[in-house]
Amino acid sequence: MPEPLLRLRGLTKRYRAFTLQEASLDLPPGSLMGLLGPNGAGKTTLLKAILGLVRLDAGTLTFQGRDLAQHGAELRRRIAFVPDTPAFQPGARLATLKEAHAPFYPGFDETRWKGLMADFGLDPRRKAQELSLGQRTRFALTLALAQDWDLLVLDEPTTGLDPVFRRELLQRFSEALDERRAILFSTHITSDLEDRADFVTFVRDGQVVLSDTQEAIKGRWGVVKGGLDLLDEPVRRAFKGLRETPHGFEALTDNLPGTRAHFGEQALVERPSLEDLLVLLGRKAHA
Amino acid sequence: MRDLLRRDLKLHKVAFVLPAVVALLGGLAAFWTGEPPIVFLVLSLGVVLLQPHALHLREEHHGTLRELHVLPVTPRQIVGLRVVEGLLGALGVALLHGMLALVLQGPGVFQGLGQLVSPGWLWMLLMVLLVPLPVTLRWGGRGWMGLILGAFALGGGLTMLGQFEGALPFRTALFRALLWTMDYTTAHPWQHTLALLALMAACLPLSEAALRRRSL
Amino acid sequence: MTHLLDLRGLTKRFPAFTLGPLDFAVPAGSITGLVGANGAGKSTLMKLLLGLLPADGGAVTLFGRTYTGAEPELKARMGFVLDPPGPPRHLTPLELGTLVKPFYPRWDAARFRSLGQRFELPMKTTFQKLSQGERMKTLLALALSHDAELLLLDEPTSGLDPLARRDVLDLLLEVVQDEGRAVLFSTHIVSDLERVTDQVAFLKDGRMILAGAKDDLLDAWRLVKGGPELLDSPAAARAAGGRRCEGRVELLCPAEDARALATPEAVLSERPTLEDLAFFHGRPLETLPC
Repeated sequence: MPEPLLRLRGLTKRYRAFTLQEASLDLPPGSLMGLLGPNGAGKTTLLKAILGLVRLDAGTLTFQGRDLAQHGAELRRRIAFVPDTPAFQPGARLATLKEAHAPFYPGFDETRWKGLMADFGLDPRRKAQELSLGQRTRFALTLALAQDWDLLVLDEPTTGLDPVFRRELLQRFSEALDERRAILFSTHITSDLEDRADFVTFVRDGQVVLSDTQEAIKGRWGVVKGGLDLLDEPVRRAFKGLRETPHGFEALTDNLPGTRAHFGEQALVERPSLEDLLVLLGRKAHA
Repeated sequence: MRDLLRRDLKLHKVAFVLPAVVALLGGLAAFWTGEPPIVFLVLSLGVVLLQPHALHLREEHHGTLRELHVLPVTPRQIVGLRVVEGLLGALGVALLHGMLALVLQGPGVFQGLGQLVSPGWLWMLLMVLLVPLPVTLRWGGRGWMGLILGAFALGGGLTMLGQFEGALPFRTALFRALLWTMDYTTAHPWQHTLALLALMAACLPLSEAALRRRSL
Repeated sequence: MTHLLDLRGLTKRFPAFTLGPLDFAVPAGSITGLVGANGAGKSTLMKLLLGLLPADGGAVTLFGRTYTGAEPELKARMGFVLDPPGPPRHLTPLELGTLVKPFYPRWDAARFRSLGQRFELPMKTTFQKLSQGERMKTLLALALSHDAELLLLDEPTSGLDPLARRDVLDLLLEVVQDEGRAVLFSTHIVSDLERVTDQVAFLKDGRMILAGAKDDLLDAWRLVKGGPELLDSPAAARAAGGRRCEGRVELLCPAEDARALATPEAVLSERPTLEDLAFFHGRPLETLPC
């Protein structure tokens, strides 16, 4: 495995009502990682830590082998960021906003920016206050993609973007990826990442509960659907997440072959979708 | 730093208009009223030195503070930006007033040139720009609410103090110390200036630390 | 089958944009999903359905009647969730209930309370402090408590996390368990459609390019993948859209054409997903990126 482009170790940030606890993960170059979790799980805190927007209580962040806390300003030249609700000075024209932004990033490609603006249907003469949320997100994407980035960080930028646009965007991402670059993509729309993300990281209650290649996860984990009579105490305890309805249960296992062997024909054991994983991992506390 | 200044010029054009107008009006008012230009210069400087705070609060208000922090710049550069903005503004206002006075009232007004090197300027710079800067950078708009409330409370407290002067046990020691400091500093301008400069220098790392503590 | 909502030649013209003419019906007991790019006309359509905008042509028929003269009565039988502004933000769900109650003859206070309990809504917390999912559930609870027969929801799942989204969708499924009710909702999330809808309508540039029962739609199309020689076939000209990528060609074709195309061994013909339909339909070969 190559040296990770981004390495997080033991990231901890305490807020009054919420704690991000010792989050660790590795993002190898050349890969797209999906960051998934319910609202309030800590995804945004984690991404903000990478951008130096929160003061961490503990933990280290390494980017291209160097400490992000120490060399943040220099390293951030190689990082592009798209926030969940991008904000811009309301009175400024898009062209002006670009001029204020571009000088900070060596290698910002003016020609590519113009092309992106045209592709995304944005007029540089428009003012920021005239844009809808979807358009602001598109504009933030033009700034990010025209940058010469090594790491692209996206914090749920897909709210307000239609499916066709999102699919084209993901295609742009996979074209842009090469062996020195990586993308960290937080989203609520798990179906966008299905079979597209190389790595998936699930965050829940401030902890990284699962982070691995999508292939490995799909090979090992499974969803079990069956009647309530199959549930006894040892079975419940073996499940990694469980949702009961009057008609039956849905559960998550991290031992797909073993579970298949155990239940045989009595229950349906399938490969999980990312959404299954997210929803059921989320239910663990309620089981 | 140049990129940061340029960014602010591009994004906050409107915000630069008000202090420029105030400075211009101040210069003209000096001519019309016949008061010494220095009076209006002090007022204009006060406004201009508040400007860096205003820009930071404006970014906060529009939600673009995060964009500023995400840029590949260090917190120190952001502090530097605000200080430089204040200094450049002050310089601009002083020049503007000087020019206006020169044009409108003739060279005679510069007889009182000695006034212009008063440590009073440093006091203004310190109290208006540098001391509140950590507050702006750490707490933004909320911090200024606090500052203003604090100033009112202090003012109220001092008036009250006047009434109960006799009853306060610490009065003599505190007042004596204050009076002594004022006496000493006015009598020793060099030490006074040096002390001010030291205080100003201390505000810079404080501001930087304040900015680092801000979570966005 | 009765139709709760029926559109006939509905048209609305703006200086730069025309919606329609749209012909479409929502049968009782069904969930219909409305998809389209930003600016395709979804919100305009919702406004027309609610009578917030006057139509330039055609008619909206609700429960077999038009709005003329019957607006309050018809609206009492519908429930809406619109995009912002939404309800007053400083009120609690409980207060919102009291606020809307006088307008609905069939308001059921007991049902509102029990829905609140079921959704685990904090009934005494102001709206602005609720999470996105709780807000949506509050609005749904309000709509269901006045016994709405037709729910019109503009992006009810937008901004929700997958857990809250699944809750909301499960709830919609539950609503149409009662055969007299129907739901029409717009969404940007195609997997929502796959999970709950019976009917799907795709809006593009103000026109309904595809509409019908979900399974019929998917059965009617095939995604054919193969080499460039695919394009030589006359059937290729009838494709609704496609793209060329590094010598590989993908075409969205009517199912009967797919059989004609699927001759050589290199050709793969699949039933498209709804996302494929949305992506390829109406997009000529050279306009799509790889």
